[in-house]
Amino acid sequence: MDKLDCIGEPCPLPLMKVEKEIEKLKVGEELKIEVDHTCAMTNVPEWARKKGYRVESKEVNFGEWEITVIKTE
Amino acid sequence: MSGKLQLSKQNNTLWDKIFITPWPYWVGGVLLALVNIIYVFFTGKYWAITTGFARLGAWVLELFGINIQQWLAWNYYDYIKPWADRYTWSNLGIIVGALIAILLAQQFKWKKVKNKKQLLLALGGGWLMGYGARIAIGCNIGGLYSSISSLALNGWLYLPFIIFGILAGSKLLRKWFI
Repeated sequence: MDKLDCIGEPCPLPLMKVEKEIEKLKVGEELKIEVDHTCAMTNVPEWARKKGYRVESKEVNFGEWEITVIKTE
Repeated sequence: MSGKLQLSKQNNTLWDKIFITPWPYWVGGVLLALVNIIYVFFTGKYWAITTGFARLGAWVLELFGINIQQWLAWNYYDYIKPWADRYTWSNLGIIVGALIAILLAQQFKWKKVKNKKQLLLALGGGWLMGYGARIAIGCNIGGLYSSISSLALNGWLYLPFIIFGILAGSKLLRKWFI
């Protein structure tokens, strides 16, 4: 599974990229996104939860996070 | 979007609520309004950003021997040296304030530029924003926010066009860069 590399990209780029990438996925598949802007840690999980997708996040390095969105339904 | 940050490890101490978790948008709005009132009260002028940049830039060019005194831009606002300009100081205040905030949140980090494309986009975007703000004689602070709050009609005229600009910009972004 490819990772979506959004390091160094400010909002709204990460969310816009996730919206586009998730379309290509089948139900049950997951998308990993690497971000280093805290605003993406706000709007990506919030958007995913609203869509009903499962979402997890962890800090991989100081100030860099990996968000996992699992496409459901 | 509620503006709530969802970090994996999140504590709910008062310190975290004040210094780490972003404040709700309405708190920011109320605080901006209050600080703006204080700014106008003490300086007698409205808050603006990019007029200060124009004066700073012109002063740098003057150091290199370029005659900037005759520029037509100074018909719209005076040329004064940066250190005599309140906007230089309020701009520095924003930068220093942001630095203090991020240090308190313990999230300060030097961020690297990933590639040349990112660098060119950032420089190009910055140039366009600066040029646009000067042609409009005000960015969204001086031209929109301060104008509307001082009951000037030009602020209301600014509003539909900046909304249109943001919509058009988002469409272009989606089409070419995503």
